[in-house]
Amino acid sequence: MRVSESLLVVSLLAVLGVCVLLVIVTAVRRVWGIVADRRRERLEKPVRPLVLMMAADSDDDGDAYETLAAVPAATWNAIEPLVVRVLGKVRGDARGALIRLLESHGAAERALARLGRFGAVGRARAAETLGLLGSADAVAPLSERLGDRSSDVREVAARALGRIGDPSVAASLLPVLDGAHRVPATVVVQALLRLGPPAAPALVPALADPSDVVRAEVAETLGLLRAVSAAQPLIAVLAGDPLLEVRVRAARALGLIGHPAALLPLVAAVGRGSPAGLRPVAATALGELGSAEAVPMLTALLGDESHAVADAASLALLHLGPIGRAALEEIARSAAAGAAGTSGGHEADRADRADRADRADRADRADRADRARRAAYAGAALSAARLSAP
Amino acid sequence: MDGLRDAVLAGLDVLGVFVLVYFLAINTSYLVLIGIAAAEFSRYLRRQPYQGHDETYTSPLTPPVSILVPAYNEELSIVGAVQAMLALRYPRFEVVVIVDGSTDRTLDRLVDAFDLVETQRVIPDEIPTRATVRAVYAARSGGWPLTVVHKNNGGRADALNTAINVARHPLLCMVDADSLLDPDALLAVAKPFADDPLRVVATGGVVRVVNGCSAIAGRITEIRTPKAWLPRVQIAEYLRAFLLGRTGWSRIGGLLVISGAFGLFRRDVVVDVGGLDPDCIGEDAELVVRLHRRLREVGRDYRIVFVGEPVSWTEVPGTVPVLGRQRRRWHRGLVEILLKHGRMMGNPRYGRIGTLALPYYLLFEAVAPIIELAGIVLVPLGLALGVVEPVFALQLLLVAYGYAILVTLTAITVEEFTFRRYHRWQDLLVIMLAATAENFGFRQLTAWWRVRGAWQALRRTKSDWGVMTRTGF
Repeated sequence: MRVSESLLVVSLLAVLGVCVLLVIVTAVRRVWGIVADRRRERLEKPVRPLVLMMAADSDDDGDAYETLAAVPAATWNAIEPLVVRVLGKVRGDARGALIRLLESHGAAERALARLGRFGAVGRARAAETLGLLGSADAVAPLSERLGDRSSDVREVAARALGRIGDPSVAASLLPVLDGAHRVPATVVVQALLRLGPPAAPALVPALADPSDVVRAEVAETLGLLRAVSAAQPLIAVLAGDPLLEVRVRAARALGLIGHPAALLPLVAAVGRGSPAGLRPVAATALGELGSAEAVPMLTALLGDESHAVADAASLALLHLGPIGRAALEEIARSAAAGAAGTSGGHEADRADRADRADRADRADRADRADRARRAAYAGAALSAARLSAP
Repeated sequence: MDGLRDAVLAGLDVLGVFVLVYFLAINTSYLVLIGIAAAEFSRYLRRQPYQGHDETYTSPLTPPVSILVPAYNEELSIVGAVQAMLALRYPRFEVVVIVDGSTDRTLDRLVDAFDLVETQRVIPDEIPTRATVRAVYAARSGGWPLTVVHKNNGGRADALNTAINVARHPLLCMVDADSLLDPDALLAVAKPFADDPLRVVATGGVVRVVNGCSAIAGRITEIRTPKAWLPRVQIAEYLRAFLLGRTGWSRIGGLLVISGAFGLFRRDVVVDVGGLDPDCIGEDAELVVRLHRRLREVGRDYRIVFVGEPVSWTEVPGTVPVLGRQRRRWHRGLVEILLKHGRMMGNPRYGRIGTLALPYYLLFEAVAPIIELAGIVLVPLGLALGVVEPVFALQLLLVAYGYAILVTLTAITVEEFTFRRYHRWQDLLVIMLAATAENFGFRQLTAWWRVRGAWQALRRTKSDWGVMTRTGF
């Protein structure tokens, strides 16, 4: 079977034609882009300094605001994206002035109208604008959008509700952490954090939610909110939640909250019988708790077989301040001179290997290995502390 | 003589059609992938105004990242690269540079530039390593989140395994020492982990060509095409194969390759699979295939995602010998991976990786240079024996390579409609010309190098990374 010559000629012509077409399309796209950029630049250029002046809170006499409020629709359409972008980066009076400017051009009404549009991109952009404007009127329609069929719209609506900052929406944000209308947990938690401590009471009951994701993220959020009132429920979660990840988050939260009642539960969580994933987090939390009573436990953990636990314990001791540092220095002093080499872990491992070959009794070997490991981790922590000292 | 003539004629009859169909199929598959990628980019760009990168930057939940940089004789580019990494916009990260027994002044340059002093550090053996660590360095002031580990030479995979052991954060970003990252690059590749933390185990970032661009303090300030044609051709090639090809594969759940120049991985998952394989020369791609294999075997729901923007800029070979070594190495790595994970091939247990991606890589990547070389040999042979008409041969050649040019031009058009990184008209023209030039010399040479790489893999000769000559940023 041979390839027909006429087929080849037709194919060749077709390929050449498409290639030429692609070159033309690319060139036209470039020209179009350049023309659009120039038009935007032409419209933006005279008024951009005014927007930046308002963003810098330098529009003392209000001239910039007056000028921008009166620009024709074509100019406003060109600069509105810039104003919205800048709005997301400023605070205080400048933010208030930019919001007034956007409202003077009907941005809030337009966004509210677009929130019900067919296209998901339009709805998401509208939700983004409403969140930046921080309008209380938008809370109800944005809450409805948490059930939108588009994941993009749900995500932006959750973020916008966080920006508006009304704590009453806290409970309505929780269901979107799980289920068919899910929103990424990072977005929901960030929104809850923006609502601030007043949102905490609405979150505590969710520590008993049937959803693993909800319990885990709520535990994390309560810690980040430093919700002291949640300490006892979190202690209960640390001790008894069926899912390890939830217990890990509870341990981290208890460290951040820093409630003294968490000391003993965290000491229990760091013990050898606890799951491997929980122990280093509990050790870190003990350091954050700031209690001198944690020092003996943490120094003992420096000899732990798990690097993650020993490393976390050494950093936790540093975190405890002078008392923890003194404990580390004591261990380093009392250790054998050779145990704190350049790369302590390898020294410790070599000590382990040497010990295995040693004919000394098992207890003595274990004791020496433990001391070598503790010295290595103490030395490394102190070395890191020296470098980070002012 | 007549017998030989008849045999060649018969061979050409069959092979001519086969090679042409193969060429059409391979380029059509590229077109399909480019189409899928174009749709993905369109969606990605429409979402940009409300992506919330600023939220990711300020969120306390954004997972911290350890950036791992293996460096072997990188004295020209290492300081710029590390400066760029330290200037990344990301809430919490550390940079771990492994100086892998360099024989040049890589370590000295780092010590001088960042005021490093020797320090103590416990390095666990979570992943077995081969070469001994000589010393660990950190910034004297503690101001940089930078750790430099000086170890005996053990190869790139061993260096990365050491870096994984040193890393303290839950995400690992593996970056080449000759790469410059865009300021928001880490935020972009980490976003899928934040959006879908339970399923995403790895993300790959796009790699573009830095040759010809201007950089100040490790940051790209002007994007231009280089003056030499060899790297120019690679710009067109990277656009087609890396940016659009990998985006397409990612969209259909078949991403097999995350470039060693820019990839982000969950540390716990990488440790669980034993780190990188120091015996495989394509260790970065092999890690991804092994992740697919292990996670499929344990029945875990997971995702490996490619992110098309922003990017890592990397220096590509500027000379023929260096390019030859690189392409031999790449193809050898691919064949080694296909041999090592052959049992996944066509096996529905491994989903689209087993039934689609791996067979595709075997048929259209591993075997392609052999078939291309067969065509290159047979056509002149037919012409010499007088069994092929010159006009027919020319038409055949033009159709085959014309289609390949069409595919690359499509990729350039998609780039123009989406990211439009090259702003000057002359750069656009250069890339279009490079898309054509690629087919005359470059393609045939790479086919030859790739066949040699495949042969080395089959013979299991000693692997050698070779020397990549740098010009620096």
